[in-house]
Amino acid sequence: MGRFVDITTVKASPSAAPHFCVSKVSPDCIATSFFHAKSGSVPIFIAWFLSLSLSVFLSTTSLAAPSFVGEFCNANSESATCKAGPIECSYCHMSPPALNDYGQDFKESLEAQPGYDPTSREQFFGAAMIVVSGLDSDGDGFSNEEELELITSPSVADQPTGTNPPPGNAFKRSDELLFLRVSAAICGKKASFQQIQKFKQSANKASALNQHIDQCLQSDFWLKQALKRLADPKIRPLKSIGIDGTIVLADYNWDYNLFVHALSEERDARELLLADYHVDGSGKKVTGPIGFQLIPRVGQIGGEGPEIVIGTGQPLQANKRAGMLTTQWFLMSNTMFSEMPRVTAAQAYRAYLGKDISLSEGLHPVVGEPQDPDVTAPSCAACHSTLDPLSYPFTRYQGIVTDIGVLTNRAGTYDPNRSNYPETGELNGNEFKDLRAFAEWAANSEGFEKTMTSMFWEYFYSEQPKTPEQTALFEKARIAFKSKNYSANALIKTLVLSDLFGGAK
Amino acid sequence: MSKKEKSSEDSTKKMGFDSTTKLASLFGWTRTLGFSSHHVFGGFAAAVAVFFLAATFISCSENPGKRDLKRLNAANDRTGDSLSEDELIDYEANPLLLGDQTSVSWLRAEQFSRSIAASLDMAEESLCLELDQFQCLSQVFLGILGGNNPETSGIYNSVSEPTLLTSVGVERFARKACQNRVEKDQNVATKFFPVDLSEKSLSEEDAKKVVEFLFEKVLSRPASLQEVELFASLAEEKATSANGSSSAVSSEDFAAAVCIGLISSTEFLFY
Repeated sequence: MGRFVDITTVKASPSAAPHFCVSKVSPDCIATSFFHAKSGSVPIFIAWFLSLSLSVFLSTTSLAAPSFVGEFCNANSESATCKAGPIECSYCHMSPPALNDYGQDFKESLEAQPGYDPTSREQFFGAAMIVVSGLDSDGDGFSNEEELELITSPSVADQPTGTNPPPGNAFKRSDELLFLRVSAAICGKKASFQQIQKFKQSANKASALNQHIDQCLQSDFWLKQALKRLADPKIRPLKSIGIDGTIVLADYNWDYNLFVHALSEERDARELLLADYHVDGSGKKVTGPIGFQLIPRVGQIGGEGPEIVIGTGQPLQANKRAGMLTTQWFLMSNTMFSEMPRVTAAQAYRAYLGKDISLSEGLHPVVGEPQDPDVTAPSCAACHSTLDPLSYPFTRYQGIVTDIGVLTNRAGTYDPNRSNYPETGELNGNEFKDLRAFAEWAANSEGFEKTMTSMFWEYFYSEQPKTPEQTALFEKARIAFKSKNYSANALIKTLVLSDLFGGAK
Repeated sequence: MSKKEKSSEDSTKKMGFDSTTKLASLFGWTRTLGFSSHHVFGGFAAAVAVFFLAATFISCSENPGKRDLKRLNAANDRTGDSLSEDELIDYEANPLLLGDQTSVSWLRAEQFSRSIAASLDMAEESLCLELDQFQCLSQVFLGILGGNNPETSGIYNSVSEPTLLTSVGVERFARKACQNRVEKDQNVATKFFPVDLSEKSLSEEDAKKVVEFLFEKVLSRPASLQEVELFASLAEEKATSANGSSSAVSSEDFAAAVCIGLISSTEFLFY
């Protein structure tokens, strides 16, 4: 398991139960999933409809051929790009099957080979590669071969080596400038005249600056605004069904509390994925299940009576928790009615490992997958051979319960009999017996380190690193994050106490 | 000239204050549009704000240091005041000039609002209300000022850079906040401004006090001599109403206009 396969050879498991095509919009997938929905089953129809809506929003038809990835790097095994790891679909595609400029050049070179036969295309790879290597598909002044060595995209012109960054020694770090920038970025407001004067008069500016950063990292702005805004795309709250909504399905304040807790006060950020506790509004840890919480206020339906409260608290037992991945809100809002929680898995992959399957990122097809016969068509299997085995560990966690259990706050609970799919999942050659095992692996992966570094980088620098200096600082911050017990504050200090943030001519 | 004064003056040049005539002509432009006397403040404030906003967003599109220096020297060539080579080096070596920083960030929604509240010593919720009921930050301009509302709008990420409408939101917010600050000063015992804003006209000395005070409060630095002179000269302008009568700029109009100008400056909006 875990090696690359040609998805056209993947066979469906005959025993696989029918399910919804969450991530596909191919007509075959849609038709099959609709007719597999039980007649008259409103919840399933709603799930199908919602899933379809999500799929239209999130993805496009995919004809990517992961076997190309293997063939490409077989032909370029000594290149820096292939040595750095498997290439992404985006190396040749805009969004599979649409080719980018490089992919188009490669395709044309391949098809132009004398006697080209698509059934034995690997025989023509070498010759086509020689032709395409000499081209400059993105017109940025660097040949495709050079970009293969620079580990840059041959189809995107704004590459770091082409931007002529200023020499590193042209800038000098200024403590005063750092003080001003830290005030605005982390304290949330510009430093006052008096604060600046006091800083200028301090005998040990480095120490004063460190103190200032520490104070800012404890400020209301940082803890109650900045960190929460960073959490938004990971939690994806919706007021109408949240704790202040008309119909309360779950309370996402627990999610925000845990997010802020794990990323503050030198705590281990891996708790985002590993915590078996929750954090209440006052910042205190709460262990064990948190039951139904009544909300003593007049509801909003017609201006009278209480609102409809279906779920609150955190009913999941502690030994099945995996931090942000198993909060009631995360499971309820992503899994909803689905037996195969693909949206949940895709969101976990996107939010904490930085790979967006809807953009064909992080595809690692697994042999024998997908099992769901609805998604074995090549256009579906391109993504589902990665997504489905990633979804299995989530299958035992309830989304929105459609039976009488809806009245007993069961959303987000664990039920070993919830699904016919296996609970054991797999990603990139790593097998996980359950969700806790996946979370453990994910929290200790380089993908998690990079995702956290990237999140804070974007906050302080607005865009992802491009120049060699920026890339070097990014890597330095990632390493600092890991070596200092995954402290977000250590990561932040590395990012801001730098020539790039506090440097001036 | 002290080093501090030189530094401040350089910052002034960076912001585009290379000619007093620009501000004066902008003020004149508002008069030619036929503003009545009670619109004089609006025209005056708009002129200052337009000038600052133009300087702000144009300067972000290219290297502000080089561009302004070139323009500065081109203007000064006519008067024989070009910077010498030594001054040029000093100018470019100043580490606190925005255009010389290795990276520059945009003072986004919450930071913008909090900074103004701290500068003007006001509660955030009283800074700016549209139609006297909608919070400018959370209910009106949040997105264009660089914020996002995930819960009711489903917007999980903020815009990565200022939009076409950002300058509108900035100008509106700054104007309301400054007007509210000036009005509040008329009704509280402990005054914020160092001069009595109920005075119909403003002495040159009081105008300078207001300028120096607002520079420290808003930009957190002393104003240079040139900046003080430049701003204070605006108080001498006469506004002409529709019926032809002239009147001096009132104390409160002057204070509010300087406040708007500083809040909508490059130096305040970016860090």
